[in-house]
Amino acid sequence: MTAAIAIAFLSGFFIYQPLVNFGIVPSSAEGMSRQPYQALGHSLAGGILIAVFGFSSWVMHYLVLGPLNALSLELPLLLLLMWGWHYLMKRLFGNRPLIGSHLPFYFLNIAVLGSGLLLIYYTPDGILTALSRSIGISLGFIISNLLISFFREKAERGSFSPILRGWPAYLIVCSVFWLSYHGISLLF
Amino acid sequence: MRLPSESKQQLFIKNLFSENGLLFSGTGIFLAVAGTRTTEQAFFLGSICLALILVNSIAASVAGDIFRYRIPLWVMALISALMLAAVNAAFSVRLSHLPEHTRIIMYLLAAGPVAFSRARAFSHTTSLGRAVFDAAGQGAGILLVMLAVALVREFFGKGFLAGGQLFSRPPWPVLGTALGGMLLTALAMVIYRTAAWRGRK
Repeated sequence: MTAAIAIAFLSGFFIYQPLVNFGIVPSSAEGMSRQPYQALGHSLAGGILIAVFGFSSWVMHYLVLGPLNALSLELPLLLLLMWGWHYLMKRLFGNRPLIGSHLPFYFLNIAVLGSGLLLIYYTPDGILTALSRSIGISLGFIISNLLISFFREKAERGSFSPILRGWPAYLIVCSVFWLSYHGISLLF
Repeated sequence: MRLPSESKQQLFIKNLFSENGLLFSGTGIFLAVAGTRTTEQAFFLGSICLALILVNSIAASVAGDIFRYRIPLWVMALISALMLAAVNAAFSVRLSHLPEHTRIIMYLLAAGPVAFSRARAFSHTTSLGRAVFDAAGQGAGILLVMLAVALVREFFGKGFLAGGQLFSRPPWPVLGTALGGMLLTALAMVIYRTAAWRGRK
């Protein structure tokens, strides 16, 4: 049991986070990963939301909508769930600028919704496994965003020509991280 | 930038090429990176994206032009989610034949700025005709870029061209993965920027 939970956490960290799994690149992440301090706030806000939304969407899918045979309503309900968590986050962290200033980016965010959907479709085992994997995905999101921002801060200004700056440089850095995460994921 | 003097055709062409949403500002970049494993997947997702952009722009323009009302973002997102749920029910068999994750990527359109950006930024302040041409140009531009990226990914990553197998072994299989999506989208942006830079000179 402990091994299954540990593997769920590690696979969430290295395999099932949206960037690594199928290359989900949220538009806001490009602008927010230019400086590590900005990236820290952005990643923390996203990471907390990914963990709570991911786990609650899994609970909603398997323990509520599945038994009620109402899976066709899943997507609108997931959006409502995301807004509910977003509202709670605003109440909790609204007066803390590090996280609160980044919350508007997460009102509608593909990384958060994508993490919830990945958790639903690829974690059918049990509630503890889902919880462990959602924490893994959230930590993976925070760490990879921070690493990308450190790399971009050092490399982008000096090493890339103006034509490569911005999105192209961000995608190239993301592809390097994708390769390294993919290499580690082959161990599982 | 959009000027009131620009004709509908100019709006369409501008969004298609010189101010292509995906290449110019990165709108809907997740579609080009994640939704282009095959040309079939790219066409399916790009068409749904085009339909969503059109519907949202038409609704925003009608509400703005006739009722002087700006539709809130959450209403647009909720309606888009309902439309995507209907598409999922209607095309469930076809979706099961498309590459892994296609359903998830399609669902992500409900939360992606690509489906709402034109409606929020332009359509609600203009006439219906102009909004339709602007939205059609934006959606068609994104679809074209997705098809171009998918064609190259399929050719090098799988050895396929237009549905037929060309190579028994794909020349560069890694392009079939998410890495290929990221590198080729970056390459498309570099080509676009170089062309725009030369055009200005």
